[in-house]
Amino acid sequence: MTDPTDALLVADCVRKTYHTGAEEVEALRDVDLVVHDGEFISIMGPSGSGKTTLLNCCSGLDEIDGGRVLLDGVDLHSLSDAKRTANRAASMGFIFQAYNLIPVFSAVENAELPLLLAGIDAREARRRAAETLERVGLAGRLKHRPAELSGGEQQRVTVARALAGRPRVVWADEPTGALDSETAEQVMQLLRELNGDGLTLIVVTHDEGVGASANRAIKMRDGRIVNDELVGGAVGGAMTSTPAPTL
Amino acid sequence: MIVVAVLSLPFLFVLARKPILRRLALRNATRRPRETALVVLGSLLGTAIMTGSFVVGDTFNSSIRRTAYTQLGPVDEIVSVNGLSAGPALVARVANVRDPNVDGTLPLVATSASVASIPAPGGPVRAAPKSQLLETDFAAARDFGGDPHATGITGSTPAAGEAVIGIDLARALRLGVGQSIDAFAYGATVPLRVTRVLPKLGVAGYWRGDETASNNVFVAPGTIAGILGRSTTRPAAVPPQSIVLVSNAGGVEGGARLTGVVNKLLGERLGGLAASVNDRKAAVLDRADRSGRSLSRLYTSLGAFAVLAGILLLVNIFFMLADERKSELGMLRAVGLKRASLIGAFATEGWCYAVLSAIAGTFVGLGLGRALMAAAAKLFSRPGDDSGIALHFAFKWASVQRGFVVGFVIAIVTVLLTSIWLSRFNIIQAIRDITEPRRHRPRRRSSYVGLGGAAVGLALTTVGATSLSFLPLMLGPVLVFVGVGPMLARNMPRPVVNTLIAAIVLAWSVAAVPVAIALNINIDVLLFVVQGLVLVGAAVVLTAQHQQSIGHAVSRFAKKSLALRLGLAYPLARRFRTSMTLGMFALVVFILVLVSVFSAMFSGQIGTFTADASGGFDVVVESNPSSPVAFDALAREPGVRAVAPLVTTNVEVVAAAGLSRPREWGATSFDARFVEHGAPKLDDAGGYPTDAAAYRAVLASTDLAIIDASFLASGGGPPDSAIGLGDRFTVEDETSGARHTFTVAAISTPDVADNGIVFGAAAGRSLFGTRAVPNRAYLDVSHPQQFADAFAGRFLAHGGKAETLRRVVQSALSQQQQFFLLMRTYLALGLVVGIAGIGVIMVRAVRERRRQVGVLRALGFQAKAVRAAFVVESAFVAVEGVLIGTVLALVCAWSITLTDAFGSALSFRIPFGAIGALVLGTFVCALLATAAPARSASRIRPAVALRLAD
Ligand SMILES: Nc1ncnc2c1ncn2[C@@H]1O[C@H](COP(=O)(O)OP(=O)(O)OP(=O)(O)O)[C@@H](O)[C@H]1O
Ligand SMILES: [Mg+2]
Repeated sequence: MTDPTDALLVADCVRKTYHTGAEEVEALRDVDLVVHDGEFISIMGPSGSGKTTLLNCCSGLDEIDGGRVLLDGVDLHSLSDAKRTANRAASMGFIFQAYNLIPVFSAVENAELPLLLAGIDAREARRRAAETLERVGLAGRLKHRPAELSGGEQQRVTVARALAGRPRVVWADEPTGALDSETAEQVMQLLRELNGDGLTLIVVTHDEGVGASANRAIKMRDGRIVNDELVGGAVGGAMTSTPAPTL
Repeated sequence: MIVVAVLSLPFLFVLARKPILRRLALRNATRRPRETALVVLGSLLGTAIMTGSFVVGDTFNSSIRRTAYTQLGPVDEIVSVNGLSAGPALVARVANVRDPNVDGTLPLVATSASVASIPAPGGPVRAAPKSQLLETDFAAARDFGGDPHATGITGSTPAAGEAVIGIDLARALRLGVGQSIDAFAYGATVPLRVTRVLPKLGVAGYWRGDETASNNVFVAPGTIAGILGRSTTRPAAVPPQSIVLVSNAGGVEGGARLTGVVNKLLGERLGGLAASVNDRKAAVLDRADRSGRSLSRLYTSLGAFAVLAGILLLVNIFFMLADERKSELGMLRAVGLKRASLIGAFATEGWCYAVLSAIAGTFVGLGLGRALMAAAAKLFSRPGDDSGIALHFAFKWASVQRGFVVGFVIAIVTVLLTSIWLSRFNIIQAIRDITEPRRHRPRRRSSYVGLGGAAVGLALTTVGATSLSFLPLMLGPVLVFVGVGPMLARNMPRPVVNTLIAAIVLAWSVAAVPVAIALNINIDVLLFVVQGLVLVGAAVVLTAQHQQSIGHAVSRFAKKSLALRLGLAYPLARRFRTSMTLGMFALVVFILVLVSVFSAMFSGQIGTFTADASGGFDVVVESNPSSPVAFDALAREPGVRAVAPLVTTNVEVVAAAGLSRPREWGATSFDARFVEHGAPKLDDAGGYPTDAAAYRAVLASTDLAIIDASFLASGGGPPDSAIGLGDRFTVEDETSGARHTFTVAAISTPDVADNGIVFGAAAGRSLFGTRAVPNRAYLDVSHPQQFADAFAGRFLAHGGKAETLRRVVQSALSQQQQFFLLMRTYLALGLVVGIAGIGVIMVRAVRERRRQVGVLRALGFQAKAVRAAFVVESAFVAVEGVLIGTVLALVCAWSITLTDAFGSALSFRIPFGAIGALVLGTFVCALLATAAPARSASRIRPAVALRLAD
């Protein structure tokens, strides 16, 4: 375990249990995780292993049943919902599988949401959102509604939206799940570039290719982290917590 | 019911023979019971309103019908002659009639009288100036008609000095058995002791006039003759009547069917005897049917607004359902289900809702009618006023059935049309809310179709203008304007064309009503329904066309608020749905404001009304016709400046254009003093240069008369027959059977003092003969209120009663106001539709956008901002709808005052208080209806919502 004091995010013994009727699903069983600034972490594992749950719990989107999550030393789950929400607005970005744009807003309006939430002047927000959209290659689609964009374009708007607010960490849950391989590669290329600029990225994925572009790979099974290793050129200070098997 | 069955057939077929579709339809309907409940709630309102309207009619019908039981019972016809001397001859000819159609006769002597309680020392004297003394044989009365219970008569015939009184009189005088009363008639006073109180039923409740109270005093036979013997009054006073009551075979209501046959029989029996045969029972039942019908009609017409609003809601709900199902639909299509099948499944689901909501709506409608009638009963029954109707809630199964059928048909037709429409539109396009039309220039074909429509419209306009009927006149031009749309759109940008056409249609529909009135086209409530619909439609199109600019203007006000932007984004983007909701609100607010404005305009007339109705007088006094006040003596009293004696009684209008059967109506004859001191103002003096000239002409002639605009109207509805200047009608004196034909010489201002048909003294004498004794008078006195207050006490023995004309007008207007109030209460149901509707729509909106809310929350959108966004959304639509409705209604009301359809005295005024309360109330309620869904939206947990399939 690395020294958690200078970490961006520390998850400590996080437990999450879902109750449906009489059944209980232990989605996370005492998960520990330390994320440092600038890391690009991929989380992989079989379906139902708890990846999405981990993401939701660590980002403060969901409540937890045990343990704690510290973001910059602040216990996320001890904050009020309003404070936690404000925290998300200030320092996090999200990319979900697909179709998570607001259908009645145009591309640029979607992308500027986090900026407006951060209290940035409307004109400035529009300028920066447009800039970010240009960066993801959508300069010509600013006024399009999501329904008028292709799947890949939509996902790039989502990426732009996640980035526009210049968050410290971006959570992505299968960002390329709904895209064809070529478009997926474009999106991943984009994410890699951003990580190169110092953005912390945590990506849940089934795609080995995506996993390969990360510099730290986490494997989950049955609500536990079963493997956590540095891959490729490690940028951050992360270390493997379990011995790396063959790559 | 057959209609319901036929319309249901295809759906039953689907349910029985198409397992996949059945499963699809039923699963979807039962998957989320709470939402299904909401959908049903949204669509049951139409049925409820229809059923409620029918029930209102039933209640009035049955309440009036009750008088057939309480005031007539076995009595079907009343055969009467004036005076006691003719009595034996009448009885000899009629009383012993043997005929299978007649199951009894009962001789009776009656005279009107004034009755007063004899007070304990120091106690107040209570008087019932409109009472009658009756003499009959109780044993015979009990046997009369074959059902003793229906006669209300018990015990033996009262002995001399005894009085058996009716319950109404006992209540009015607040006395019971053992106490004493004085009866006054023909200048004599008869002290009587009350020995029994009879229920208001059959013979015991026998009353011939329109009053609801039966102030009856049964006295020993011979009492009336005794009074006449001692009489100090001039012999010209209205004499007592000798009567034979006739009961037809059959029950209370069934007997009336034989009236025609029995009338003929009685006519033969009477031979040359100058007696009157009055088929009172049939008249009461007829009046009951008529007022029931006319009220049903009024309420269904007004309710149409709420029903239309309900339809818009239904369409909206259905679009939302389709929207929600989009992925499902797409998937099923992909699997290979035909589009028609999909629509079938969808419509079948709608059919389930329609059936459920029609059933539920019928019950709600019953409750609604009941509540409404409870409110109405309070309004109609005022202590001391026996002119109203005692309302008793009642309904017929036929009406309930009708409500069910109408509600069901409306729902199913809406469902079908929506389904078909959905199938015709490109589903993807509709669902994705792509607002920009793909094709900017319409095809040539649609412009031909449009031109065809325009041609039809032109034809309609011509028909409407030549045949003077409103519907084609109103809708024709609308069709023309709309029809040229596609052609214009080929050469002009669509938004410009739409704006232009909507504006023109709007202007035309405002103008149409004044134009119709100017052309003398009959005004009907239906007119307002059509007008309201077209107006609101055009206004909504206009608003929808400019929704973006409106939205931008609004959001510019609050640049910073993201919640506001988000809240506006949805209604602005979903133009179709927003238009539906807007229309829903605008419709109900339109009619509510319109009625409120009219109500205010009428109530604002009290000053003018009083001046019009009073002429130069300020008090109207009445006395019992059996011992009239000596008006000539009154004229010599100090402080009395003028007296105009009148003879007022009821006559039977037996012939008039459009009259299907005789109607009882008031009649008043006047002499020169009425004209000299200033008779009530005329609305239309015919060809005469002045009002006075018209009155003098009527006075000088024996066959001219003056009526008011509501002549032969019933139950607040329009008159049965539109009788106007120069038309002729025939009346019959109820007691002598004498007939007289009049020509309408002038139309008076509203007849608030109940003068009825007004004619000269000479005509009165020829119609009433010796009975033409003044029993009423208009007075000009120096202290009207004091004079009126003292009058009854001073003329107790004459059945004196006085009222200032100001008060008379006030009470007439207040009745009118209450009528308006009742209407408004009813119309407010439409608001319930609107408010429930926005609740339903918002609940569904929240459901639809859960994932989006989850995303927003993940991005850092605060819970309360989510809530605010939903509130903003509904507030925006509500405000727009309310504004449209209010403005349109004000413009309409104003345009109507430009004509003098309701008299020239009607001036435009805005009841700011009432409208403010209405607007604010609607707005607040809409917000309240949104509160729950908005809160549940704010509680959506992002982690949960994000997992939802879109
Ligand atoms: N709301 C819920 N209620 C009950 N059980 C849940 C709920 N959400 C998730 N689960 C269960 O928790 C477990 C972990 O779910 P999670 O979504 O985290 O898996 P995952 O690794 O993201 O899978 P996938 O790769 O398929 O997305 C699964 O077994 C799932 O069935
Ligand atoms: Mg997952």
